[in-house]
Amino acid sequence: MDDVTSFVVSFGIVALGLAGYLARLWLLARRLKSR
Amino acid sequence: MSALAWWRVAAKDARLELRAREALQPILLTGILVVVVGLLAFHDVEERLPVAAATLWIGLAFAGSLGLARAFGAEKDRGTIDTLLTLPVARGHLYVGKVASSFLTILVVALVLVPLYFAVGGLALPASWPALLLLVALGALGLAATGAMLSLLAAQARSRDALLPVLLAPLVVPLLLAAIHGTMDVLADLPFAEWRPELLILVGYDISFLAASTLLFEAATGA
Amino acid sequence: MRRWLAWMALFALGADVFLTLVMAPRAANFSAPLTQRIFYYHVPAAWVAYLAFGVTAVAGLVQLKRRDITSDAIALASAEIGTLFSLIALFTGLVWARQEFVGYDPLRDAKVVTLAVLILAYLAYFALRRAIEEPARRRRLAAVFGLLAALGVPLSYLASQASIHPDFTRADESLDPALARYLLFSLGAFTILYAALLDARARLALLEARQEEPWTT
Repeated sequence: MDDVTSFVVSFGIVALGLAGYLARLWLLARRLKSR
Repeated sequence: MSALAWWRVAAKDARLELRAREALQPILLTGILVVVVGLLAFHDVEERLPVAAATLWIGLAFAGSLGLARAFGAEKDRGTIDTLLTLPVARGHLYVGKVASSFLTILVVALVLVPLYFAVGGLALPASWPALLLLVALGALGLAATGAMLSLLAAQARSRDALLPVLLAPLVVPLLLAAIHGTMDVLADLPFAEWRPELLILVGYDISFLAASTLLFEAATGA
Repeated sequence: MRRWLAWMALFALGADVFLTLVMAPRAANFSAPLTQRIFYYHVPAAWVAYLAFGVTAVAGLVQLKRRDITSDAIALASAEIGTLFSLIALFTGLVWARQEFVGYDPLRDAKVVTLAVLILAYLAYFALRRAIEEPARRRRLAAVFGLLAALGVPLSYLASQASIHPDFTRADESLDPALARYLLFSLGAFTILYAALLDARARLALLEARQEEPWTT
């Protein structure tokens, strides 16, 4: 892996991780509030 | 009084364990199996010591957790755990009693497994074999201390047999790391300075988990 | 989550990205200078992972004293967020180290081992919670386990330090002091982010707990 690719991958891990968790929070909120 | 109390609980457990010799059998067998499979699988590996040390402790950990799952599982099934808790004995003493009996079980397994390596595993008895005994004793104590506590937690949950290894694994890593590496060094007859850090970690682990568990035992049981 | 907290986190994170990707100077003496920038995210992520774990343990202590639902909600929320950040820290760390060091062996890095133990501890925590149906008991036992795990993690670090030769743990210490302030800012930004996420998740956990037991205050 070259420098650029590894940077993109590692940054992607951070971005996807955070985005994914926010999505989870949003879905959880929706589920709980609709009860 | 208090020392006598936990001695009584431990003695009762030990007696029950020894009486129910069939219960000890699967535990011993598991340990032996791990060792034998390990020795066979790695028969052509030059480095005997890492394999020996690793399989010994993995065998002890497996055998130990089998015994532990029974430690509280059996009593909950028998319904005696509530009775035990009503005894005029502080619950901390109950925990220490369990640790003692688990410790003895693991020690018995170790006393069977360790000679195996020297008998059939192609290992030479090191000059520092008392050190080996010390490490085994400390490691067994740590396994018993953590395991007894966690099996108490698991016993109050569903699927406790599957849950105990999951709970035990992360907490027992430091113990296993120190025990395995210390054992390797001792088997190689390396000087004390080499395995002193591992020894210190084992001692620290045992003290920490015994102390923490004794303090938390009350919270872990009862209403 | 609280509006102001959300905005603060967003701003902090945005500033962080800008600062670390655009403004921070190229790191000298690194064979992979672009990837090095992930350092500004990897280290704070690991920091948050351990911070979150500490919060879970302390919340557990409070739980055992007060037997309330709020401390448990915080414990659960912090555990979840901690798991997220430990995974982020672990994988970014691996990618960076593999890129930067020839012959890097993650198993010889005490920090990798400790992070792995942390993740296993978190997973065990969730497994325990899922296995107990009665809410009060779940809160209590989870708190106990959280405290025991809090003992085990530092011990894991010590044990892996003692037993790993050669040691890759010191691998990433060579940071130029001029770059240190960017790292510091990143640490702050991630802490604010953690606070915001904790606030959001804990509220949801509280909501869920109240729905489970409507009679609790």
